[in-house]
Amino acid sequence: MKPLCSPAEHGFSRRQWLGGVGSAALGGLISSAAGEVLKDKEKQVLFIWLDGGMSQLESWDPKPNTQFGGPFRSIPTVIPGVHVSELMPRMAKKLDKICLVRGMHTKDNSHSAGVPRIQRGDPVNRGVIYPYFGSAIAKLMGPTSSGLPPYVWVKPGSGGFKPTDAGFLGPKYGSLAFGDGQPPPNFIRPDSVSAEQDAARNELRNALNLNYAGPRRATNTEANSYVFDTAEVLLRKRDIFDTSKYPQKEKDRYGDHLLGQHMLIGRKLLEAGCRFVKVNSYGWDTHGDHFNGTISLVNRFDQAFAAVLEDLEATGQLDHTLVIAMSEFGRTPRINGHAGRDHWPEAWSIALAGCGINRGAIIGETNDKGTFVKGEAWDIGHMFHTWYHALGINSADVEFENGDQPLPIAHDDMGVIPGVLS
Amino acid sequence: MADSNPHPEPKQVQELNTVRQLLCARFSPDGTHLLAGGMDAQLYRWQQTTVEVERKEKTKNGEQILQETKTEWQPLPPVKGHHGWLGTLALHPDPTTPRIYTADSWGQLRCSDIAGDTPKIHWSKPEAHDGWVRQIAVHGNQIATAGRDGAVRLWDANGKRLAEWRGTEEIYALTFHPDGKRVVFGDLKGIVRIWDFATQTIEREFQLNEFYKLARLQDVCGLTRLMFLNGGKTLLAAGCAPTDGGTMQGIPTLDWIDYATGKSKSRYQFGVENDAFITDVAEHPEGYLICASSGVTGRGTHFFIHPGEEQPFYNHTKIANIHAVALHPEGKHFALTGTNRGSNGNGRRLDKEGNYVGNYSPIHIFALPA
Repeated sequence: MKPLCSPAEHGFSRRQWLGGVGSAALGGLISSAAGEVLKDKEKQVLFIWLDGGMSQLESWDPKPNTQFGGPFRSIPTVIPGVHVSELMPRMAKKLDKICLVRGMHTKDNSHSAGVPRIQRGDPVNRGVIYPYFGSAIAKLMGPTSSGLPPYVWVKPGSGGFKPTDAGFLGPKYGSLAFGDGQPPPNFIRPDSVSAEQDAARNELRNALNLNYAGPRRATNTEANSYVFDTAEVLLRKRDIFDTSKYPQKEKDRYGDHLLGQHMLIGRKLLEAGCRFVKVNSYGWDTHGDHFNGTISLVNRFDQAFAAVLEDLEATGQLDHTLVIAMSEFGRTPRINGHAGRDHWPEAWSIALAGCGINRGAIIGETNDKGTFVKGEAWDIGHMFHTWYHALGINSADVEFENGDQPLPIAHDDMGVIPGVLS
Repeated sequence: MADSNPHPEPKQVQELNTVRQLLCARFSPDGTHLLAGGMDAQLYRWQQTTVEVERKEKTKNGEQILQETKTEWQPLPPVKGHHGWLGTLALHPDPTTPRIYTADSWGQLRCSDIAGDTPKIHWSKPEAHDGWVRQIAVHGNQIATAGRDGAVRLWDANGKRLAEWRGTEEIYALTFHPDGKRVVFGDLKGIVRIWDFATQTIEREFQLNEFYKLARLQDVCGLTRLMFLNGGKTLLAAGCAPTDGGTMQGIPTLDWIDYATGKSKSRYQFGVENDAFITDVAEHPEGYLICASSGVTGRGTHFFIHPGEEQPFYNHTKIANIHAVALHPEGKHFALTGTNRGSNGNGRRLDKEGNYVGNYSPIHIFALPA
């Protein structure tokens, strides 16, 4: 079996490589069929996760002046005949930069099951836990030549290494989370420790690690070592997390709020070379007072999203960065007594941009009231196939291997969504 | 809060059926019409009518039938022409000038007659505000409006704009001072401003911190109503002290503020975080307040409280998610716009014909005890 990615290509340490080979026996290496499709190592992903469920009706797919349309107007966009909510004035001017899929139809209407189900691509159940998309990309594409961790997560709240994202791939492919936009405590070398002291300390740690790793499961020990190795690379990029040093004008463009500042850090991490950057926003589960709350939520998303697209395009990064903005589902057309909208996987929207994506395409549609998809609907499995193809991974051929068990990387019965890819 | 009603209780005398959710309701000053607006941008109207009813009464010789008259509210055709939501309305205070001012979430302000099958539209300002008009207040022939665009505007009875104040935050509540020379309004962040519109100056401002919270990414505003009591000596701020966004939570709050100082004189908060908003308040001629609340789906109360007191003297929890309370000018009846039971849910609820169904607001008409 030919491994897809060599340590040299990914800037991995020898120990990591050995750990990787060890883990292959336990699960996770992809089949040789994929060997020729992943030559472009510098493709990247920005995955914007609006946790709780953004309302499609107050964002990408407004139905003004209809029974469930809510109070807001729609506004024209740069694409003739296409409107978005008045809460998205910035993205209305940039709609020709993205592809809007308005025909999403998924299966789960609960957060607890829906979040992992969506982020794992909801494949055919084979009794294994599939990786989140970020972990899958970390495995399939590895780090970029920067050597930075391949799957990082900028989020409010706690941070740290999150191995559970990786499912059967093993903990090494989990996410490194920067809680509140900061690296985990003690992750970065403190100023009181000199570089020489740190190198000596690491040498000792490596020796002890090798000794410790000998009789143990490689997947666990390599994950431990991996955190330290990536910390060493991150050390050189620590200014990314000090937003006080960012130009005020830049911060203002992204917005003086959590999502804006985290999006800005996310962009810096992409610039630095992280393969997959997830930027997370919480608080979108608006079962109550939805319409007042949505004003600030969607407006702030609109600001941060427009700013990051603008910058990625200006630097040319958009050409090789796949940008995804989504939630676990949309929100009900029906408005409850608390002036809220509940969970609605039946008909919702996802925004895509960047590498491999057809700019200005509007894919799928909902009916006049916005209650259900009209015509062909797309599940998250279709979306996974589409994302993989945008990144140059032929999801029809490439497989994970879980021990001796070959596993498709996306739902067997689904394929690429027509019209999304350029 | 359990129901605890030592006094004679109001009695529901009629329930009006509706097909959509309502957000505002008022009786006309002459008491002949009930008017309501909501999430389908139509003005719904009911006319007071007297109907004859028969009542059987047992006698020594058997039973006799008595003819009686009964007051009922009969629907009139709804009035169209607004967009988005019709979320606020106000009536000209003079019973001999039966006009209604309505505004919608797309920015339109309109003045029309009340009665008749097709009431006359006197004037309309399609762009009175840029987007959502949050509230209308009326004092004599003056109309004040506040909107999501951060503007407060003063209009005359013919729809001519007389004055304007512009800020950066959305205005959620406003009222005229009883002297008719000032408009008092509160914004998203809980800042209350006193605007002398003759001189176009802000006389004073003060902060009601409890009505605002930044929850993660979300600005949560709790202020729903401002109202003068005591001839203008007391300003009542009503709404919610928010504790979280998302599935918005908070404590229903009434804050009695000394108008001269801007300081809180007393505050009444009740219930738990799920109870959320006091959505509307009406002042009864006897001096007590009729308050309505709406919390997480299924929760709602209406209660009577004397200004400044620590507990209501009447409380009722069986009508869910009340968004408006209207007091009849005679002070003998009031109306509540509730929400049908089971209004929430993540699943796809379809009717027998397979249609996706929405919610609606039954209107409960109560008679007050003598």
